[in-house]
Amino acid sequence: MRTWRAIALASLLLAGATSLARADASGPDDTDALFKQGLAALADARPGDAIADFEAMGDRGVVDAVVSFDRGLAYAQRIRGGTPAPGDFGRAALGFEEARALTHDPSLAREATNALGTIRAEVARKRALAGEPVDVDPGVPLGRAVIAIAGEDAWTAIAAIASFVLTLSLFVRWRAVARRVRLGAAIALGVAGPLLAITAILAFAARDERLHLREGILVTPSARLSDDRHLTIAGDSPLPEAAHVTVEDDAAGWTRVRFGAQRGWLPSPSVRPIARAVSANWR
Amino acid sequence: MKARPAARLVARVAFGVLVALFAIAFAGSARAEDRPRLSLQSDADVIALGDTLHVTLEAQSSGSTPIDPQIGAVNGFQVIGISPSTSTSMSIVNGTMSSTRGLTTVWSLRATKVGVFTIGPPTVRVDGTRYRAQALSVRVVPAGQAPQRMPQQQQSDPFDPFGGLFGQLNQQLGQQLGQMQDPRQQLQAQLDPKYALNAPRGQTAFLHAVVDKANVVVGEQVTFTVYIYVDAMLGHSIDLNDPHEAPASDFVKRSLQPDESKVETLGMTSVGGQIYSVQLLRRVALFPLKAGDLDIGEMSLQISGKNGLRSSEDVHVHVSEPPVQGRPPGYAVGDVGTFLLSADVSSRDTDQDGAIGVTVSLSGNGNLPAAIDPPERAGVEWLEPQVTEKVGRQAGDKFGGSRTFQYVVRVHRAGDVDLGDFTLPYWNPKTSAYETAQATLGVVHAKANANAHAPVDAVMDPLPGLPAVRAAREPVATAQKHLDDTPAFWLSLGGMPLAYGFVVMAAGAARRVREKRAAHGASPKTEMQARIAAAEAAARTEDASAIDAATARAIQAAAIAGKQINVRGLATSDIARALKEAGVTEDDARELESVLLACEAARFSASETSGADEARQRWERARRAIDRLAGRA
Repeated sequence: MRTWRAIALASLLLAGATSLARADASGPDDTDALFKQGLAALADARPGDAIADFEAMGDRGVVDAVVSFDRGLAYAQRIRGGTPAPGDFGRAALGFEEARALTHDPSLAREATNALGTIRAEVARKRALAGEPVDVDPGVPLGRAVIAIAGEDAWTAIAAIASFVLTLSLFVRWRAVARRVRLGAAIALGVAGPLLAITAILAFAARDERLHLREGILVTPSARLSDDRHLTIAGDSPLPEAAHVTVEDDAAGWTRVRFGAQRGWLPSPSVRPIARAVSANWR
Repeated sequence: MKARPAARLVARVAFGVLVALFAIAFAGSARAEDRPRLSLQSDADVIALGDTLHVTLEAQSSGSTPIDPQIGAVNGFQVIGISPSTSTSMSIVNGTMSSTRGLTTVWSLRATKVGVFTIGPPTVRVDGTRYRAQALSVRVVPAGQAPQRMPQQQQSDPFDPFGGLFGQLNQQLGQQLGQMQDPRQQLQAQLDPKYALNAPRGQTAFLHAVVDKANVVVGEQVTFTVYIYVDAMLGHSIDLNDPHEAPASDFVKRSLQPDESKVETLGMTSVGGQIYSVQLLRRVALFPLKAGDLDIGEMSLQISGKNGLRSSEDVHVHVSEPPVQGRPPGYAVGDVGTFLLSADVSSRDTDQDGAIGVTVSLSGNGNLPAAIDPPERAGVEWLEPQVTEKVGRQAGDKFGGSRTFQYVVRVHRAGDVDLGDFTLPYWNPKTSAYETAQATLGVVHAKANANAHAPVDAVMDPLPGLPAVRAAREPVATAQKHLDDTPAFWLSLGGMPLAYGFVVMAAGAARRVREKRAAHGASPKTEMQARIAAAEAAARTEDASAIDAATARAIQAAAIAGKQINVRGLATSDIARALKEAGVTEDDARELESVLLACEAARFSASETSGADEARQRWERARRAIDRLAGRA
């Protein structure tokens, strides 16, 4: 009886382990196969098939700088082939933006930036021919530019050091008797206090940006912003394809975006969010 | 000579009269021409109580357009609607153009009393003058006694936007009811429980909307049906006006009715114990455009009478996206149904740069995609296709059909060229799985042509200098941890400076405690205890003078603590008296005075060793007295 039980248990464990192994293998294998298919399609000058493969990888949750980069190239190849679909410039720019945001490889980031410049230059050229404003990327606001001077971790480290120095100088100034020591502590106090306040704010803002900032790329040939009643805002110039926008809100098929000084609603399908690197959540 | 002037006078008068008569006649005829032609008619002379009568006034004028129609008296009737419409006709006769302007006004009147009533006379205004038509006489009889009226579809009903729909409805109802001796009994046998409802949603008639599925995926067909239930025992027709379709703004709408203006009688049913005729008002295939809880909305219309607004239910459908798991590359969200692809290549041989025809047929059920992507092959150029379609209602109330794409394909490469496959991945809701429709085109042979043009993509590159494809994926990035993601970081950031504050506060508190303790230690009782302890300590030494001094200080402290009297400044001989006055017993007072005197005397003696024992004895005596004095015994 015990033998039969042992055999049954072993079979059960074996079956479970096999199914688990298969489940683990199915995901990566599937996306790897899609990636290879996409590369083959690009090599055969079949950008449509490559786009389908790379987009299918995205549907499966793959967030990979190289996949985004190659996807951007696939859209670019379709444009170069003379049969672009509406929105191909925007989708190509999206691929390169994602690659730039996701990669840890400086050379890939550089190539993605260059490719992005090429795409946006062509969009700007087309708009210039049509007599429209050529501003495709309005840049980042001053606050975000200041945050970007040093990374989030740098601001965090500086804030921690400033906090320690501030505390130390307070104690020294309290306990020290010697006049010179008390003077030095007072100077350190005067420097560390404001530094702590500034770097703590910057660290918090950088963290907030990492967790909450949503950016997107316009993937329609042209789009006009609408007001809160979803009526077109008169006087605003249409946003260009491949425009880099900040996503502020989503509601009922509409997305509120900011593009430089312009702010308004766009149909959600016309804006595709830029995938960002995975980060640990607040614990 | 006199007769001549008289004859002339007569002739002149006669001429004047003739001219005047002519002028009057001409003016009269002119006025007659300016007067509008008015005609009034009704669709019945005898109607039943509660029935609706349509009275039509037609006014034609060669001058201005008739305006402001008024029906006049309508005793025994209630006006439930008015519909004016204007018209203009022009004619040219012998080079002269004339125009006629008309106004046709239809009043809908409901009979409210039995009897013979005169309607009108109605009037219109032309060029500021009001003209009237003949009045009408109509007899109203009790319900059910009126002769059968003309079929509705032969008369234009300006309030019936459905044309013959409701005419048919009323006619069918009338026929059904008219052929029955006891309508209720006979109808009971024909009831269809499929349409039965628990309770009516309105009096006389109401709308009822249903969908065949409440949970679908994006692009899957939802069949939305609106029925109208009409009280089978009503006995008269109803007018239906001002229909508003259900908005269904998040859906693609495709009608499943061959003619939406025609009614389809579905049968009779029981609603809350009452018999209703069920008619199909709308049947539409809806294809959801996005995921979410989507609102189809309600269809509404007006039926004649007070509180005539009737609305269907506001129907919602839950829409989700097909699963990501197993989704084939190239699948476009919304391609849902069952599709088939077939292809036909016109010729398998051509010249380099020559063209062939490819016909691709997409058929099936569902919202057929408007476009399909041709296969991509190097050296093969697909021109824009010509699309023809034949879509509509299929068996089982499914929407579908076929769409044909006719391509002209140019082959720029010489040799055998594989044109590839047309593929269309779709979600099949029947099998709940992704499937792919495929049509293989096969190989064509292109004969080399020396005059062939260069490939299109070699001509101009709109995106020069793009980087090469990357073939190696980046390693999977682990979740990057940030110091500021931990609450401990933010606590420590503010906590360290705050710790200084806590330390300073704690130090201050400690200092205050010490001061308090010190203040507490200066009390007479504490002082006495300290002096007693000091005397005890001195008594353990061999220093007699120290023992005596400590004994004296202990007695002094005990006097202060016990009786609040300071004996230090008193002469030794006065101490007993002072203690006694302070309440000390006479024995204790004398004992203490005696000890103090002995201590004072011993402090000035020469011997130190023998004095220590005596000093200890004096301290023992003093301690006993102190204990009694301070209540310690």
